[in-house]
Amino acid sequence: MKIFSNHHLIAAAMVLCCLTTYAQVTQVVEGIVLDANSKKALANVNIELPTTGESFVSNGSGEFAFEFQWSQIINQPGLPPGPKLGNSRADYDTPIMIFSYGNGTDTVSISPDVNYYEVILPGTTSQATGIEYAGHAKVADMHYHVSLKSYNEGGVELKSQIEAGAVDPLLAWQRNEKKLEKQYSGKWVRPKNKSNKLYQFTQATFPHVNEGNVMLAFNSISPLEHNLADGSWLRIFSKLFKTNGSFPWLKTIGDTSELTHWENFNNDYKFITSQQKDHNGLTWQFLESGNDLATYPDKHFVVNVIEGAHALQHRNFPHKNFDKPEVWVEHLARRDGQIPRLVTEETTRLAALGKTPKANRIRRRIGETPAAIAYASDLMNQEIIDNVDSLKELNPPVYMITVGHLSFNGMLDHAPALDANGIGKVFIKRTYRIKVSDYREFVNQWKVLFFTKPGVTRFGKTLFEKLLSKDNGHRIFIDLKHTGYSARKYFYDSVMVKNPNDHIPPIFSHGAANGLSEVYYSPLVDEYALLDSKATKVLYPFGINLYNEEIARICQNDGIIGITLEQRVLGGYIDAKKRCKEIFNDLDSLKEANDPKVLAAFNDIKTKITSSDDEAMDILREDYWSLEPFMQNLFHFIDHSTKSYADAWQHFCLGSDLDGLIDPIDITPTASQYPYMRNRLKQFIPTFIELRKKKGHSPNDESDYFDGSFSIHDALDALFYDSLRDFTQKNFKK
Amino acid sequence: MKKVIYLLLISVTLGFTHTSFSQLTSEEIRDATAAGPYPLYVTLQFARSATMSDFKNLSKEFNRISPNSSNDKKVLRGIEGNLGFTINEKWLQNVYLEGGYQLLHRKLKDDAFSINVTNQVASLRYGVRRRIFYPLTFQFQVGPILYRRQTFTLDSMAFSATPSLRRVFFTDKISFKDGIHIPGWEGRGRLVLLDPVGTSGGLGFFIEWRIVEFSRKRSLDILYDALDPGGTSNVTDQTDDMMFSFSFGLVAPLALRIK
Repeated sequence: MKIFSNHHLIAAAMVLCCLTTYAQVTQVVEGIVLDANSKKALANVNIELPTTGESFVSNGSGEFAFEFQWSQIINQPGLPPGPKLGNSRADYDTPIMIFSYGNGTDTVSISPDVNYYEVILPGTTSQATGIEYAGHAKVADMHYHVSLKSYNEGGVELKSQIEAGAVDPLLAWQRNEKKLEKQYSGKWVRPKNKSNKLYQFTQATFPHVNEGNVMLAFNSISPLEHNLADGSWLRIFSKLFKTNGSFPWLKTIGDTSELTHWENFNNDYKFITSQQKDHNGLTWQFLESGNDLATYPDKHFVVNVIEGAHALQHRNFPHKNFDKPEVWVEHLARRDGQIPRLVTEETTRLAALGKTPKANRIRRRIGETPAAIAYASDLMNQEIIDNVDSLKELNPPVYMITVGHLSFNGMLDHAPALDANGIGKVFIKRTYRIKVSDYREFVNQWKVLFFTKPGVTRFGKTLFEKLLSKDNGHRIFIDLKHTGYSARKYFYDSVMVKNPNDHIPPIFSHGAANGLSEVYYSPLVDEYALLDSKATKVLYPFGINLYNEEIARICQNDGIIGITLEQRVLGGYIDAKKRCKEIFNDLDSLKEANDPKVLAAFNDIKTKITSSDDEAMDILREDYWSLEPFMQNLFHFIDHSTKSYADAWQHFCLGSDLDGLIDPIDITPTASQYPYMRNRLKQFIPTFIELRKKKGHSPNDESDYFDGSFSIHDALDALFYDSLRDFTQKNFKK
Repeated sequence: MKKVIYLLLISVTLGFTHTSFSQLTSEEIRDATAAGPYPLYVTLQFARSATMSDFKNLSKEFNRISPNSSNDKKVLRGIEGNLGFTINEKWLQNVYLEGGYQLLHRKLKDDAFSINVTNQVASLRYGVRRRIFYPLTFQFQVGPILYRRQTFTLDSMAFSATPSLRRVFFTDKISFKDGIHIPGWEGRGRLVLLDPVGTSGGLGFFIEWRIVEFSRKRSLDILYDALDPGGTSNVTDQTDDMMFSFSFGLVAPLALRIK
C-alpha cells in the first residue's frame, strides 16, 4: 500500500476543494469514471461525483483519495425512480470505474498513472474510448458452468495436477474467443456457428462474470458421463455430436476403474475451489448461506451446485445397465473378483472351475439369486447415503443438485436431452425411433441415453430423502431439470407436499416450456414426429421442457424456474426460416409505420453501434429474431403461472446453461452480453406483446402485464436478479 | 366495395391464422404417436456389375466386326428392387427374408447396328442383420437364384441373320421336375446407414456387394454366328458362371402392420 506524500495530499485537497465547490448535488449518479490512458484497473478511490459530463484532471502522480458522495437520483427517461443499492467495481479489461446509483459512500483508489477521468451516463458512449455503458443491472444466473470447459479441456493432465494439488489458479479466468465474431468494434458480438463445444469460445468464465455483472452465479459441476464414453464408437459419437472432448480424456471417463463419477466430481470441486478469487478487478467468493446476499449485497457470489446425481456413483454403484438387478451383482463380482455373499463351498467350487463357460453360467445363475441381488442393492443404496453425507460436509457448501442428466442413472428417469443439427439430427432422430423396435441389440446400445425407466427407483427415493433431510446436515435442494416427467410427478405428488410444515419448493433451473398439457405426456409419443407436426408452433415439444400444468404447480408452490438461453430447447430452430421471414416483415412494417417502440430501438442502435440506416435495421432484425424464442417462452411461463402478473415474475429467473456445451441465443453468446440482452429485452417486449396479440396468439396486450406500479424495468429486475436472490436468501441456509 | 374486399381479406386471413391458445386436436396429435415397427420394407438400388468376361469378349468381337465402333465396355449397369420381411420374434429378430429382381443392361453400338445385352436375375435370400453401431448396420444374405434370363438383341437388318436369330436369349429357372434344379446361388453383404427396418419409419441408405454363381453355362456360338454369319470369327464362348456386382440404394419400410 502506497504512503501519501505531502505533495499528494496537498494536490488531493486542492482537487477536492475544487470539486466540492463545483459539484452539483442533484445529478443522476449512475455513470462511469473512465481512465483514458492507464491500462491498469482502478480500485479504491473516493471521488466526489462532478456534474454529469464533466471531466476532471488529476496531476498524474501518486494516489489520490476523493470523498465520494452519491447524489440524489432524479427521474430521467429510462431510469427507475427511487434509490437502489449498487456497487462500484473496476472493469477487468478496460480501466473503467463504474458507479451504480445508490445512497452512501464508496471508496476507490486510482493508480499513479491516472490523469483523466470522465463521467458518462448510462446508455451513452464515452468520448475517450467509444465504450458504451449500458447500465449496471445485476444478474443472477441459476445454471452456469464456470469450470466445465477449463476442467474438461485440461483432461488427463489436469486430473494429475488436481490429484497432486498443483492446479493453475487462473485457469477459470482464461477466456477463449475461437468462433466468436465481434463486429462494430466489439459492440455487436455473435457466435460463428450453431454449436459450442470444448475448445470453442468460452461463455461463463470469471471475466464474463465481471463483464456481465453476474453477482450470483450457480456454478454447476457436471461430471461427464460414463455413458457418453463407454466404448470407441460412443466416444466418437460423443466427440462429434456433443463434447469434442479429447480421446484420452473420454477414454478415462469411460473406464470406471480409472475414474468413477464420484471421483470426477470431487476433482472438479477441488478445481473450482482452487481458483483465485481476486484478479483483474473482480473479487468473488463462495456463498456460505443465503444470508450472505443481504449482508454483502455488492459482492459477487458463486454457489456450487451439481448437475446429475450420477456424480454420487462410486465403487459400488454400476455406471450403466441398471435395469437388470443381476447386473448389479455382476458389477461387484467383476470389481472384487468374486460374487458377493457366496457361501464358502460355492466359492471353492467356482474357483476350481476357473473361467470356463460352465463356471460363467453358474456364476450368472448364482448372481440372479435374490440374496445376491439384495446384498448388491443394499451396498448401492448405502453408497448413495454415504456420498450425500459427504456432500453435506463440503465447504464451501453445495446447495442444489439436478438429479437427472443426459443418461439414465439408475435412480430416476431422465428426459432424453441429446439432439443435434444437420446430419447429426437425422442420426439422432433415427436412433430415437428405435423405441418401437424389437431389435434388442439396437435398443440395448442406446437405451441408457434415449430410453429410460419411468419413475423413481429405490435409490432415487433414498436420494431424495437424504438430500432434503436436515438430520444429516443442511438441506440440498432438488432441481428437476433433466428429470423425466414420471419422476417430476413423483416429486410433486410425494415429496413436495409430504410434510405440510416443511414445504419443499420445486426448482427447474434451466428450462423452457413445451406448450403442451401434461395429459399429452406418454412414453409412446414420438417427440420428433410431434416436432414435425402441426401441433408444434413455436415451443420445443419435448418432455425435457415443462408442461403447462407444471408451470402453475411450480409457481403456486413457491418454486422457481430458470429460463435457459439454449436455442434448441427454447424452440429457436422450429420453422426458423419461415418465422424469421415473418418477423423481419413485421418489423419492417412497423418501422415504416414509424412505430415509436421500434424507432426507439432503431435510434438506439444508430447511436451506439452504427450510423448506417441499413446496418442498424439489420441489427435490429437480428437482435429481435434471436430474442424472440426467449420472449415466447418467457410470456408463456407468465401466462401459465396462474398468478397475478406482478407476482408471477418473482418465480422466474435466468438459467442460461452457458458453457454447458449448448448453442445459446445469438444475442447472448457469452455472459458478457447480459447488459446488452437486458437492454434489448426492455426495448422489444412491448413490440413482442403487440405482435403476439395481432397474430391471435394471445389476447393480452401490454397493459395486461405492466402498469404504473409494475413496469417492464421491474419485471426485468426480477428476471435478471431479484427473484433468484430472494429465493436463495430464503431457502439456502446452513 | 372496398369495405367488402377488406372484410373478405380479413376473413380469409383469420381462417389461416394459427391460434396457439386453443387445445390441440386429436388430428394434430395423432401423427405424433409412435407407430411401428413395420416388418415389410422395400429397397431400390442402382447396380453395376464387375467386368463380365462374356460381355467383354462380345464387345471385342463387335469392335472387330464393325471397325467404326470403339466400344470398350465390360460391365453392365441397371437397377434392382427388393421386398423384404423381418421376423420380429424374440430369437429371430435379426433374421429376415428378402426377394428381388435385378435388371442389368448395356448396349454395344455402331452407326449401323447395335446389340442390347440384358441380364435379369430374380432371387430369394435369407439374411441376418448385425449392428456395428446403430444406426450403422451390416447385413449378410444368401439364397437361391429363382430365375435368370440373359438376352442379346441384335438390332439391324445389316445382319444377315434371319428374324428368328435376331434375339438370342437364355433362360434358367428353378424347377422341381426331375429333381431340384436351382439356377444358381448368391451371397450379399450390405452396409446400411440409418437402417429404418424395425423402427417407426424413415429412409435408409446402403451400399451392397453381391456375388452370384450360376449353375449352368450356355454356349454363345449361336450369338456369334448371328453376328458374323459365315465370317471369320472363331470365338467360342460361354456365358459367365460367376457374376459380381456393386450397388447402392435406399431402403424404406412399408407402413403396414402385420399383427
